[in-house]
Parts: sequence; C-alpha cells; structure tokens
Amino acid sequence: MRISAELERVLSEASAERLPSVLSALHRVEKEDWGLSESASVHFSRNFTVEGIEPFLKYHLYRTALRPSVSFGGYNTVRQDLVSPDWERRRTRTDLLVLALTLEDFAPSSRLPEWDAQQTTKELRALFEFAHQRSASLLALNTFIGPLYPFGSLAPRAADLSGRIRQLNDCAREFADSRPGEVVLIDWDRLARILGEEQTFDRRYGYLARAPFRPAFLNLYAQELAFAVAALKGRAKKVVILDCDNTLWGGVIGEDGLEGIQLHPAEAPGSAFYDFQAALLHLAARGVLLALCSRNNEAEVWDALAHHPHCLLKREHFAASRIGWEDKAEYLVSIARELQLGLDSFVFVDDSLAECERVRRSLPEVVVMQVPAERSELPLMLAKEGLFESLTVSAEDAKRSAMIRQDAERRRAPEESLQEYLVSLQQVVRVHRVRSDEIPRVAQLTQKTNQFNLTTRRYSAAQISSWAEDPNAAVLTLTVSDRHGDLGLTGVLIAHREGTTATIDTLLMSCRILGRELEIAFVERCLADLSSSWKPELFRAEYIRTTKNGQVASFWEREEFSKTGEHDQRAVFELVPAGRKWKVPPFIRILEG
Amino acid sequence: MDDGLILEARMKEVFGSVFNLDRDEVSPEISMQTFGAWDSLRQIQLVLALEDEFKVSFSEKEVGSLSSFTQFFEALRKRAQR
Repeated sequence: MRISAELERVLSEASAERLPSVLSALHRVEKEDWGLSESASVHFSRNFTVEGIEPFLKYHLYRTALRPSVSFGGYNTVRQDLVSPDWERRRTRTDLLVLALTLEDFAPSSRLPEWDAQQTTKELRALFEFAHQRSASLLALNTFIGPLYPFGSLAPRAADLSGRIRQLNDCAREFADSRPGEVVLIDWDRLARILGEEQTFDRRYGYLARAPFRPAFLNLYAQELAFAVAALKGRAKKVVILDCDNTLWGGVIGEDGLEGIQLHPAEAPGSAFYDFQAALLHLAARGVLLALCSRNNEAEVWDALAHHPHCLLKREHFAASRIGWEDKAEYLVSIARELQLGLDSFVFVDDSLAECERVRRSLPEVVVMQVPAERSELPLMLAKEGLFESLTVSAEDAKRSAMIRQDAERRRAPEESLQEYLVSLQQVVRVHRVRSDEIPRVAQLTQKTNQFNLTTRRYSAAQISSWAEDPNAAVLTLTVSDRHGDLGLTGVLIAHREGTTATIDTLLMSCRILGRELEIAFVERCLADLSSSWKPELFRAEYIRTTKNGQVASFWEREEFSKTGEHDQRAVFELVPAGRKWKVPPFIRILEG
Repeated sequence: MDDGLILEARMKEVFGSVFNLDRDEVSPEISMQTFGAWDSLRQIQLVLALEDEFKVSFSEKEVGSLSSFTQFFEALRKRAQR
C-alpha cells in the first residue's frame, strides 16, 4: 500500500524534529480524507504526562499509510485502567498497548540512596505480567534512563544507581525477549544516548507537570512505536536491491579493476563500503533478501565478489541479480516476478541520482535511497530508517537466502513433465495444531503474506496464542521438506466453530512453496482434521480481494466450495462435508503429527 | 512590516498549529480564560512550540504565568530587544 503522492509530499515537507512543523503538517493532513484503508490504534497506559507524543506518533503512522488513533489512560492508574470497562471495549481494537513508565513515578524511593532495586524489579515484573495478560495484541515496554550525572562516576560499582537501573532494564529486556511477537521493548536509554541530555529532558516541565521529556525525545519514541505498528501491519520491507560501483565498493570495477576498487576493513575510503557490506550481512541474517541490479559486465562483478580479499558479500548472499545494460526499473519488475514479492517490499539503493529518479518515477511503490554524498553516512543509512524492523526473527529467516538458492536449483531442474518433476521432489508435509514454539512464526506469516492469502487478516502472536487455547478455534500449520532441503513452516489455516458451522478465517501459504500442489494437500488435510474433531454440518470460507491476492480468487471453487454471496471485495463460499472424500495428491507424503 | 507585526504573524502561525486553527482565525485577544481548548496540556505544547519556533527558552516562572497571546507577545518581544 502506498500513500498518495500528495499526502507524502505534505508529510515529507515537515521536519519531524520540529514541533511547529509537525503540528502544521498534521493540521493540513487531518483536514482531508486520504482514503487510507488501514488504521492503527495505539493506547498509552502510563504513569507520567506523555500526551505530548500524540502529534509525533500520528505523523509517523501517517507516513506508513496508516490512519492513526491514539488514546491515553488515566494518569498513574495503570492497573485500574487495564481492568476498566473502557479498556475492555478498546482491548481487541487496539493494535499496540504502550506501557509507558518512568522510574521516578513507578518507584518514588528510587530517588533515595537506600533504594531497594530488587524489590522494584519484582514489582515491575508483576506489572509487565499484568499488562501482558490484559493486552490483546502487541505490548510495548520501555527501559529506564540511567543517571547522566551520577555521583562517583570515576569509580563505578555494581551497586551504584546506574548499576541498579541496569538490573531493571535487564528484567524488561528478558521479559520482551521471551515473548517474541507479543512484547517489544523501546530502549529509552538508547534514544537518550542518541539525543543527549539537552534534547532528552525538560527538567522544568518534569517538575511542573510530570512531563519530563523534550519534543525531540518524544519524536524518537513515537518513531520507534510506529516501527512496531508498521511491522505488525506487514509493512516491513523484505528486499534490498543494490547497485555495485560506488555502492558496494568505491570506484568502478570496469575501469579500476579488482585491485583498484575501494573496499577495506581499516583504510578509508574503502572502510565505509566495508561497513555497509557488514550492515547488509546483518540484514540478511534477519531474513531480508539481497539482490543486485547494476550496470556492469556480469563476469567482473562475480569475480570481485569471489576474489576481492575484503569483499564480505558473496554470490550466495544474493537471491537474485540483474547485471547488464537494460533499464533498471524493468530489472526491478523482473526481480519482483522472480522472487514472487511485491515491489512495495523493495528498497532500492544506488549512487546515481538519475537511476534513483528513474525508479522513483516509474515505480513509486519502491523506496529509493541514494548513496549519501558523505560516504561515512552510508553504513548507517539503512538502519536509521527502521524500514526492515520486524517483531520476530525466526529460524526460517536465518536460512532464507539458502532456501532461495535451493529454489533456484528446483527451477533449474531438468526438463521433464510437471508430474514427473513433482514426483521427483519427494515432498513430505506435516499438518498439525499449532505448537507454542510455532506461534511467533504463525503471527509473522499472517503479517507478511500477501499473495496466497485468502483474507489477508493480520494477527499478533498474542491473538494466535489465545486461539491455540480456545476449543472453538483451530490454528493449523503446514511444515514442508523435499529432497533439496527443509522449507520450514510455510502454511497456516485458522478456523472458528460456531454451532455446527466451521468458518475458515485465514488460509495462507508462503509464496516459496506455490505451484507444487501443497495447498491442496494442506487444505484437504485441515478439512479432514476439522471434520473429524468438530463434526460440522457446514464449512464456510471467504475470499477478500486485495491488490495482491488475485491468484487465489477462485481457490475455494477449485476446492469444490460453492459461492453463496459476494459483496464489494468479499466473496463467501460454503461446502457440506458429509460424504466428501478428502484427497491428497499421490506424490505428497503426509507424516502424522 | 515592522518587527512587531512579523512577530505577531509568526506567533499566529504557531498558535494556529497548536489549536488546530487557520492563521487568520487566531485573534490576539485569545487567552487561557477565554478559550476553552487552551487547557494545561495545550499550554505545554504551546510553550514548547513557541520555544522551538523562536529558539528561546521560557523560565519556570514564565511558563506558569504566561496565559494569553499578548503576554507571550510581550515576553518574546522583550527577548528580541535584548
């Protein structure tokens, strides 16, 4: 989804660091209806005056094409708020619950030298538990900011105030880390280090109104919260498309040769490019795909990747490549087709202004980032924008580029009939009710999958978890392997039971396993499972059209469901299971459990 | 345009963005007593926005006592003259 050019222009003209500028941009934006189809609702449960964040948060949410709604619980009444009827009404409609706590207000005794941090840690953990229980979606916690001017900074001891605050922050970190996809941690301490004392604290309003933060700090806090919502809504970018010359290294390989290009761990100017490559490796390890799109002789590029002594990126790190002299916009379209991903999940990095403009103009859904004129800013360029922030990193993510390579091998399989090919794959699948260790991956798939997704409903791990326990809900997962390797958890079906009707709320498959009839095996297996456990008289299913999921418009009819209604973008289908035989393609082996 | 008029125009811009009004709708008569939307939270936002716009810093005493367009105008004009 892409915000209209006009909305984008109004927002990008504003400078997020400046309060008057953000306020007037919002003033203009909120006068009009931009037709944003998706909303984002954020609720603050807090112990200090945090209302000043509202314009910044709305600004950053609009920038991700989300229609924001922001609400605040009572001042310092977290526990009462989260059991109130008001919260009960908001609970399921809220995307992000923010527990915003300052240490001084949470534990007034923390200002005194004899403060017992152990006791505070216990109370803090109990409050985290409580907020997590009362949240129906994503929960955001924060760290506390240690003293910037402690007494005794020359001879620090673990028992110092700083040390005790670190202990509290470790508790928050551990709490979030052990609940992937359900709890995120906004590291206030890190934001304060970015900004420094002057830009972080308003000591004056801290005392006068319990509003201790400067606008600059609230802006960064809002930006991090917006990253979390964007990740939850499936807005994270998935692919970085890279130019080579003056992007992955300094200089031009075709002119300067392997010896002449600038790339070195310690010597400028090559060291900035080396660190940029290292940043790309970090992204790849988090499951972001890398692809090359450059004007070069292909052999020279592969030679540089293979033989330059300091080149960190190797051929196998790239999921796709287009190296040649054609139009880059066309190359991007063909890479999108090859990877079966939408162009709106692409970030394009190039040093040439002309190439950047060309892509911006012809493919407005692609995020374009020009290599900065100050090379020293290149290594942090991608990290600062938060475009790739995801809520969880799964085992599948780390293996992603390996899987894409295996895919390429699969496609290079010898010419044979489709049937022979499918038999030769030796596909083995498991279908079972979701296990607790699979919940983050299931939530991630609902957040990221666009193409083979019948209803495109996005869910948090907390929501999936509650259905896993609910006898009137079923979450089924598909795990696949074949002779080339393990493809991991790649399919999800969610159903609800009401009386004698079973409704399929969600059916999705990762795009890397399509075209192999696995969807038939999976759905048949799920329907058989639900038939025997729930004994429904009727299955009901839906298809909700988006710009991405046209390929599955007639899926339910292929599965012998009949269409019973259609309105706008939504069609409803039904199937009477009595007497129907469940069929699984003969070349797919099903393992129990 | 003299300095006072320029100051007034820029202030109206900031008041407008804080109170969600167009610049022309901001009257110099506006004060905390006469304008319902001007509550204590708006007061904070207004002070911070004016400080940002005019690169000044109001004292603790001022942020507690300045409560009308004219009072802010005087406080800012005094700073400009210094």
